[in-house]
Amino acid sequence: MLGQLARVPGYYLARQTGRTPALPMNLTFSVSYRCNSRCKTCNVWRKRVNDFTIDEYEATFRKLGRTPYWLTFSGGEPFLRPDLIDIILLSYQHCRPGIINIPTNGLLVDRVVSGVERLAREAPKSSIVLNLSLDGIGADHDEIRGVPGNYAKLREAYDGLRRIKAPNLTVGIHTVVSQHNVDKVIPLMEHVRSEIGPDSFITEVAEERVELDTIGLEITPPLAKYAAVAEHLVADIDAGAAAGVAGIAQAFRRHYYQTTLRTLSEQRQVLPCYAGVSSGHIAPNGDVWTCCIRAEPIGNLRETNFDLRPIWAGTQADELRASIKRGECHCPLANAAYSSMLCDPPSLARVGVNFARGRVQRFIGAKGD
Amino acid sequence: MQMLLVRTTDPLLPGISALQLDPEQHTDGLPWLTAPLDHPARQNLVVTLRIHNQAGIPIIEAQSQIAAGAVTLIFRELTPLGIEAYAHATAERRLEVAQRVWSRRSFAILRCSPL
Repeated sequence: MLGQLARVPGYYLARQTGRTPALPMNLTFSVSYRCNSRCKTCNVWRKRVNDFTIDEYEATFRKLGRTPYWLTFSGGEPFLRPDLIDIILLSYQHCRPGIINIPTNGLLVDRVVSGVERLAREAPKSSIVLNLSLDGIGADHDEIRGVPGNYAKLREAYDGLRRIKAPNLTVGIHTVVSQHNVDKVIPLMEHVRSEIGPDSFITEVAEERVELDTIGLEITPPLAKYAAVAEHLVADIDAGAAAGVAGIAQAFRRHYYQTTLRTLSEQRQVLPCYAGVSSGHIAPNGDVWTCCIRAEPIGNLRETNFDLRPIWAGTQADELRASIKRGECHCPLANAAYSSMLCDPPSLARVGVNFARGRVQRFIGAKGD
Repeated sequence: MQMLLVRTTDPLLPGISALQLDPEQHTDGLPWLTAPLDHPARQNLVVTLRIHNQAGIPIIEAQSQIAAGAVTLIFRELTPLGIEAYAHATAERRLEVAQRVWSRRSFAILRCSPL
């Protein structure tokens, strides 16, 4: 982790000067658009491209070497690929990431549980973060996700994951706050805390993404309603300040929720975006994007013998980075936002203040007890 | 006539502040866009159009060629970004996607280069 922090000034300088940055520390691989959910907030399952083979992934990881620290394997539903865990273990072999993050709908219960158990065992030096997508309680979840019985499957998957005894495994819940559930997110949070009790609970705003083909869908919640949710999320963090690494994560999350609200309210890039600098995204067919919001290909790995470097240093990447730096787009994409916060000195200062606030609250709470 | 605001144009295309939507002409459900030039084009040009949504995300793109002496810029084929992932889908589905994406148009940016 310290080695990764040492790379942060390099990303900062690259963004400031417009010079080509080092390869990103945070990379997301969408391994397929196929999905067995039919969410009201996503059309990705309708799309189809020529997915990378496992050999193509291995060639990519080999060329990447140990540059990425945080790898996300997303979709579609990533576990629909029977070779998902083999792919991820190849990334472990060649890249040795500090964090491996996998979002899933949890529908393929046995495959998810057995796969994660194997991954946690065979990738012991990486932190495995498995996030189950939960958008409502019971029938509300099934309705939004378009799959009858989805909630029950998710609970089954969660129980199975909890039975895995692995020190490097974090099981979280991820909620997309949309038009369809914004009125029920606060009760959902209470439900998650009291009935499920995951290691982490994160939320993200439903937004219009080119990748998910959600441009033109009425999914983003009204600002006033989202503001109430964001205030509750921040208050929730303040009320249950954690220690150590969890406390640091909370400090980042608090800043993210506040920044998201401002981004939606002010309709501008509040947090300087480092997409295309410290983070990047690989589509299922090897297209390289700075982020999944814009999803503009800056090259394709199949055309560079699976080497990201020439694409990252290419003219198209430079142009897109310049556009992002000029603030020509804005969004609250969580994945990119967290690595942006790490590279943005004012944000880091704010996160530091948040962490200190948490420590003070813990101290006061302990005294009160 | 409906217009699409041009936020940024190219020095080679001065004076274009909006594109007009041609209600009579369309390709795959999306209208042709036109703009009169201030003066006849001095050289052959390739013009790239990108249409952005309110958040500044490019959602549609198109290309047009202008011959030296031309007095009108016309985009006849607008392509929603990412529509290639619907190559397997029916024409109706592609049309639905294109029109949904089009509904989010906010402004356009024009770039051009000599042909």
